Amino acid sequence: MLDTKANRMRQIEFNTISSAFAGLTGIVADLHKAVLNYALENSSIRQVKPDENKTSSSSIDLVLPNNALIKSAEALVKAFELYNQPNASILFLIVPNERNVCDQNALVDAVQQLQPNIRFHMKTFEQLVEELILDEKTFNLHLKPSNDEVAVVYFRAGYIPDHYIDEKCWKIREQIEQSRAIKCPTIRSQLSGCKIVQEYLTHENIIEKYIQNPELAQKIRSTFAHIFNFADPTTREQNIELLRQNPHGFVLKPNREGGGNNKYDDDIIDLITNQADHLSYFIGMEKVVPPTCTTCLIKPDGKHVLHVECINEIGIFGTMLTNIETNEEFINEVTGYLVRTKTIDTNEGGVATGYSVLDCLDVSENDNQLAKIFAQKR
Amino acid sequence: MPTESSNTMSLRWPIEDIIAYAKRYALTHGLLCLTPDNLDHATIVPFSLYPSPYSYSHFRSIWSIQTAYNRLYNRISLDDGFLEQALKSVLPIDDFVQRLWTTHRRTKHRQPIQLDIYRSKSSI
Repeated sequence: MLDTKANRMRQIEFNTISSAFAGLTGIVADLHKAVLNYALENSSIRQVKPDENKTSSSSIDLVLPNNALIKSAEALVKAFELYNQPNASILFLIVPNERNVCDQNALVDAVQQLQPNIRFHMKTFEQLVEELILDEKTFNLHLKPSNDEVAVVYFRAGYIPDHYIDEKCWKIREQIEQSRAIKCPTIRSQLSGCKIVQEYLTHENIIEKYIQNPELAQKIRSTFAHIFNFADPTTREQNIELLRQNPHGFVLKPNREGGGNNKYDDDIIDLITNQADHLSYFIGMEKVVPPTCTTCLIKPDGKHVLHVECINEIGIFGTMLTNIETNEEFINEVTGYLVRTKTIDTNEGGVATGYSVLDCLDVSENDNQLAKIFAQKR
Repeated sequence: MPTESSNTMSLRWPIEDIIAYAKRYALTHGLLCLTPDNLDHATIVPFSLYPSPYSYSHFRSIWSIQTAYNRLYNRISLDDGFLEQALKSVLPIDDFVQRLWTTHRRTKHRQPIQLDIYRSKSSI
C-alpha cells in the first residue's frame, strides 16, 4: 500500500542534539546478516553499500556497512585534535540513571580504538555542579578532582527542560557555552533543531539563501512535508479549518524534543475546539502514511510479536565539523542510517520508550519475500 | 530468482529456534540497554527478526542529500537573524527555548570549532 498522496521521502524531523543509536544500529544490520545465514536455505545475501549505484538484485540485498558509529567517532577524534591539547579529555553529558549505555559506550570504545590515550568522563548536570570548573582567565574547562581539561563536550542530555532540575544546571550549561571547549552541539545548533525552525525553512526563498546550488536546494525542498504554524495571523484560521476538515490527515507536534507528546485525531479536534490558544505551542504536519510491511518484533522477556503489520522510519546520520570564523569544513559527511519499525497502530516512535524496534533494510525489492518465508510453518 | 522448488528460499529451523539464535546474538554483541527497575541488569534492545523491505531509490534519495542538509543546518545555526525570525512565535511562550536563546545571545563565543552529529528522520 503506497501513500497515494506522494510517493517520495518526506522529512519528519531533524535532530541536532543527542542523536542516539549510532552505537547500536550497525549491530542490527550484522545481526540480520547472521540470522539470515542461520535461518535460510538457498539464500544469496549480498551487501549493498549505501552510496553504491545498485543495478541488479540478489535474493536479499542488505544495506551494509553502516558506518554511523565509526564516522561519529572519527569526528570526535578530529575535533579533539583541533582543540590541540593532547592531555585533555572528552566529556559526555548524560542523564541520571541512563539506560542506553551500550549505545554510548560503543562510541567511547570506537574513539579509543582510534586514539587510545583520550580519556573520557561521563557526568550528569548534577555531578558537574560539584565537579566542573571554568577558568575565568583562560576559559578552559576542567573537572575536579583530576583537574582534567575538557576538549569536547558531547551532549546526551540537556534537550528537554526536565534535564535542568535547578538553576545550578543552567549555570553549568552557560559555563560550557562560554568555555573554549568544543561543543557537540552549541546552543545555537541545538535551537536549529526546533520544529518551528523546520517549519520556517519551508517558507519561500529561505533555503536558497544558504544553499546556492539551485538543483540541490530543489532536492532539499522536495523532501519537505506539508508543515504549518498557528502563529501567523494571516494563515491561522485557514490552518485550523484544514485540521477541522481532516483531523486524521495531520499530526500536531509540540516544539519540544523528547517524543510522546504529539496530538492525533480526536485530540486535535479537542485542542482546536477547547484550547485554541494552546495551538501556538504546536506545529501542524501532514500525516505521512508509509507503505506497510510484515515483520517479527523481538522484545525481552518472551514478549515477541510475530508477523505483524508495521511501518518504517529511516534516520540518516550526518557529521559536520567546521571552523565558523574561516568557514573551513573539516568534515561534512553522510555516515550511516537508523531504521525504526513500529506496528501500524502506534503513533509514537521511541525505541527507548518501547514503541518501536531497531531494524535494517532489505533493498532487493522482491515483494516482501522474507516476510512470506518467515511466515511458513516448518 | 530461483524457479526450481529445490532452490527456493526456505526456513531451515522452526521460528522459535531462529528467535533464540537472534536473541543470543543480540545479547553477546551488546544490543542491550539497562532495565528500568535495576540498573545492574541489562536486557536486549527491541529489534526486528529480519530486515524490512525498502525501495533502494527512496533510501538513496535521502542519503544523497544529507551532506547538503548538514551544510544547511550548520549555516542557519550561525545566522542569529535567521534563528530569531524562525523562533519569533515560540520565544514568548516557551520558557525553555527562550532560556536557551538568551543564554546563547549573552555568551561570548570563544571556540570557533563547531561539531555536529545530526540525524534526519524521514518516511515515504
